[in-house]
Amino acid sequence: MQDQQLAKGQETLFDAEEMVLNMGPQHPSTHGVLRVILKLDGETVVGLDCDIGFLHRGVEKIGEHDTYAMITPYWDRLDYVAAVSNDLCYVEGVEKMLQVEVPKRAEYLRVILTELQRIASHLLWLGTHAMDIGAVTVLLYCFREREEILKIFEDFIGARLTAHAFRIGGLWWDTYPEFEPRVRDFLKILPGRVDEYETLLNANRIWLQRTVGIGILPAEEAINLSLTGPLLRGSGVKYDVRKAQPYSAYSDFNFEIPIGENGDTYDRYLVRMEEIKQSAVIIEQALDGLPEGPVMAKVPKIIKPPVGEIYHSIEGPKGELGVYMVSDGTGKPYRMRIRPPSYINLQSLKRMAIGHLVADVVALIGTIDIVLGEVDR
Amino acid sequence: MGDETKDTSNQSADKGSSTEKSDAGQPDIPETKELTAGASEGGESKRPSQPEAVGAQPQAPPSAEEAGAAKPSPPTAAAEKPAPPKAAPAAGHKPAPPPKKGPTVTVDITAGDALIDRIRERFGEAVTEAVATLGQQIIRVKKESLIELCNFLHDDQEALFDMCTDLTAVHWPDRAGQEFDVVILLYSVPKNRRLRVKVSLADGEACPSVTAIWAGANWMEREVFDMFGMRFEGHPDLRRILLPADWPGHPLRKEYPIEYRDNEWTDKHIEYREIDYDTSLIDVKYAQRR
Amino acid sequence: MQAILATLLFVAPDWVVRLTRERRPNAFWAEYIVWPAIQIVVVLFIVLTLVAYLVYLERKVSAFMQARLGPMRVGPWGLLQPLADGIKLLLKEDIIPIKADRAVFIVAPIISVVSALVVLAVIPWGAAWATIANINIGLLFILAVSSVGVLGLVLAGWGSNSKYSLLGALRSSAQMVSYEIGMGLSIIGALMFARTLSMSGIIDAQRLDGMWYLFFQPLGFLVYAVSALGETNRAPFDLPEAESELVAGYHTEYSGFRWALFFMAEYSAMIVTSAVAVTVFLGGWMLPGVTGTSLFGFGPISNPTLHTFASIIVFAAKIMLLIYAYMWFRWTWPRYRYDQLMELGWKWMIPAALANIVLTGIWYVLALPESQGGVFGFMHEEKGRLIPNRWAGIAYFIVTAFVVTIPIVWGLLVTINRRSRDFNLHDQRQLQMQLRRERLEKMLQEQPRPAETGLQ
Repeated sequence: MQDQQLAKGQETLFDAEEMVLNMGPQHPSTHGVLRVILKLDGETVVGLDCDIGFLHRGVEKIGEHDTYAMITPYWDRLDYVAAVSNDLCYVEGVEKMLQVEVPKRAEYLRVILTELQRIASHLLWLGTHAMDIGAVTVLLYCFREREEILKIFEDFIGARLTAHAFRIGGLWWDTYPEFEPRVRDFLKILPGRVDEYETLLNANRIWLQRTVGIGILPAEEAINLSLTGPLLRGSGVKYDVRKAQPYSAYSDFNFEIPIGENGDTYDRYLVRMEEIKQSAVIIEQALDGLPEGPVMAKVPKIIKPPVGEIYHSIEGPKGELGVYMVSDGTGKPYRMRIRPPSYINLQSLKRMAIGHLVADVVALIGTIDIVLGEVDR
Repeated sequence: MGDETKDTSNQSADKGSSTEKSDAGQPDIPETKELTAGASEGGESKRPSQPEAVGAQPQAPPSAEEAGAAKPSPPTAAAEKPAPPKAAPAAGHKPAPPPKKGPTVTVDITAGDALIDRIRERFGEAVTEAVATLGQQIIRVKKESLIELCNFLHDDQEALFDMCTDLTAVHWPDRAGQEFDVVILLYSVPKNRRLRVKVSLADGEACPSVTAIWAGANWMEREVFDMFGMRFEGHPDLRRILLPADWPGHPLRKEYPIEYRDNEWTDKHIEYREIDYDTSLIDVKYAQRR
Repeated sequence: MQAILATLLFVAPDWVVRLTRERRPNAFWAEYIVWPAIQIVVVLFIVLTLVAYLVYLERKVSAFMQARLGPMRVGPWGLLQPLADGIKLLLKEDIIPIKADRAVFIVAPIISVVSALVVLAVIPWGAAWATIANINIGLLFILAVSSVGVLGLVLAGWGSNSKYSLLGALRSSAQMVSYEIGMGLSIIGALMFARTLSMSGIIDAQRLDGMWYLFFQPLGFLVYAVSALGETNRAPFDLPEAESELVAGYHTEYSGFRWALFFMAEYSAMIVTSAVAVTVFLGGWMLPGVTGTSLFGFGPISNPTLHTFASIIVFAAKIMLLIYAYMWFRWTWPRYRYDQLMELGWKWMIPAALANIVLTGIWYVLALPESQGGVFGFMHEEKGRLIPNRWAGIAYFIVTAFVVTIPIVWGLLVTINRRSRDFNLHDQRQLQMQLRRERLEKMLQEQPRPAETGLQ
């Protein structure tokens, strides 16, 4: 059906017969189960449609039937490579509704964990993006460093991937003794490792040819498409929720928001690389200023926020991750809407890809940085 | 929210509480009957619109079928029947609010906010409600003025809401004639400010699409269509997005049960289907094997 | 000790030759059937084993570069992994898609692997008897037969009846045809010095000239190396089987041993292109110190068999060096895009090879003896062929190649490609920006905002 819809009404460049190519849902570089239907003229993309929803679990519906505390683990499974960031969004949203003040130590630990998660997520992105473009070795290097972060998580939270880090009101556990030195050790090795990736890619002629000028999004278009995160910043818009509307303890730290100039794939790559470094800066500051004290606020056993609604968003690794919750005063949310950055960013694929070649589509899927768990929810 | 808006909301909260204490509780979302009855300005203008909505209902189902999606539950069901199969939780939700007079967080924005004042001035009665919840501003607008308001918000030099952060809907089955709220969350990059625009719709009624203003709303509207069965007029490509094209029902409606719903669809699609391949080849191949 | 070892290890071939010659009065049989048959069996056995172990090596090399271990479970250090892989592939179910063109589907891998293996016949693996067929058009034969291999890929892509396969096949046919040209042209400079197409003749010519042609033809070697990467579909030119785009390209639908045949063809092609590079540019089996009478100063050694085996080892070592470079490139660089690949082939490699031919010809003519119309007279005639004078002539050719030819060609190509997309990335960026703006404007015109549709 979609094929036919694609075939209809699209203008063609030449009088050639087009080929409809079905990329996915099982394809090495669609990052899960994304299905992209391409209409090709030779190898040039003249039409594109995304078919998503293969991983749809109905999290929003489940949210209406579970208590506030029970929903939290579902958030881990949205963007499953950045579970900690997801948790932060939801937990802070509920806290905002309850008007709970979270202890300072918990806020700092949340910042540390979230920024570690951002580094991990960006590393995974870099590895897969580079592998899509053909540089396989970068993936293994990135996994090497990501492994360190996951080990830190494992010892703190107990899980590596779907780390259920936060609770409503703070953290469940305080840190373990080796936590701080281990994070510091990691920060010590990170700059050298990032240099390693940049040696492999930054000035690499082929990498430049594959990324420069590919998928350009001017700033106005990026805003109009509701893009957030590195995609928007790559286009030169200095919008980062951490700075624009600081949440948690982010107003305590000094860091830069890197932005690109041209909004092409290479700029987005540079932005993300710089974000890794900035995250390290934030973690360092948070570790230096880590206060003593409790990590859990006083939260009622049964959480019943007042009647009302809330929108809370954080800067996830993929973009602005938001939650819109309507409470009717009972123990379950009346409506829970997730604003998934991957889902909304994925819209731009069509705009970016048309006119490029098949190989660029793969690079563009990589540069959007989607996680299908979050796209499909 | 930025500090300024927080301050204004606090001010307005003070004013609201000082002037009329009972009014502050009224715009609470669940208490829709009270809202339609007692909303100070919008009440009278809304009453004549209700018969229109009722009159529009018979037209709605066929057009919903045309949209190619599975038939949404008939709009009358929500209005008349108290609860279809699994509306029990929803119905269980509903009676709760009146006894629970917890700490209210929603207050009217009476005056003091430049932008809201401007909008009120420009649109007058079309803006039926302007409240702040926990410092987050919400305006409710009539469906007819939605596009005009959105254009205004997008282009006005003091508003400049150039990004549609999110677009979603909320189902209120007990609010007769206004079963759906479409919620548009806007963000202004230059002004660093958020605003929420709400539109109330009857079941089966179509919402004007804002995709022409914010291209990013495209998939969000498709998702709302997919999950709530609400059509968007002027949407370039309104198809189901997350669920299969022939999925029965729209999951985020309150009457949609959470259990045993996918079995029907799964049974239909798992069954063995004849493949129209050249079966002689298969026979030959297996014959050779034997 | 040396003599005993040599006798035990190396005398057998001579014994075989003698035996066949003595027992068989018909020299034809000995010369053209029996001995070649033995050679073929030995070469095929060694090369196919080598192919299997190249896969192992590839995995180990990639593991080494990627900070991991690679195969470790099967045998010590995973040394038996190729065996396990082979058995697994042999025992796999042979799947042929129902909608595939069966005949074409079956023939394709055979064409591919045969064309890759036939070429092994003319490669001079070592001195004296270590070449199966020492024909006088060896190089031409290699170029001709190896280009048949592309037919296998095209047929595989077509016969699979799959879109990914078809795209892969189209890519590979375009790519191999383009890079074949560059490859053929890049060798011509070296052939001017060698004046023969025979593979062992070229090696001999390098011995007589006293210098590997790498130093006379650095640009030719460069173009050849890049073209060889393209010709064998290796990264960064592995577009026909680009995993991230085309799943597996032309062999998407293949499995089991048919798939293994493609693999075999690819790795054999690697060996062949490396062997040609070694023969034409790297002095073949020659290495300073390895001669017929001494081995790195040890000697005198009079056994020619020993020399042959030493030369085989030298040749193999050089090939392995090049193959290591292949692997190194693969695990370091990203992949080219299809249009960039074509631009590199047609706008850079072929013009560079052509310019190299012209310039080499000019330097060659200038260096001829004065009796033959030259100016500098850096060459003299010896045993019926022209040889550069010791040191003066050799230095002249090296200097012209490195100092004059390469800068001239670089300048030429930069001038030609000044406005090319793949060279000037800044311009490309601007161009793309402009295109996008135009498209955006067009889109806005087509779909105007409903500015005043609301009620007034």
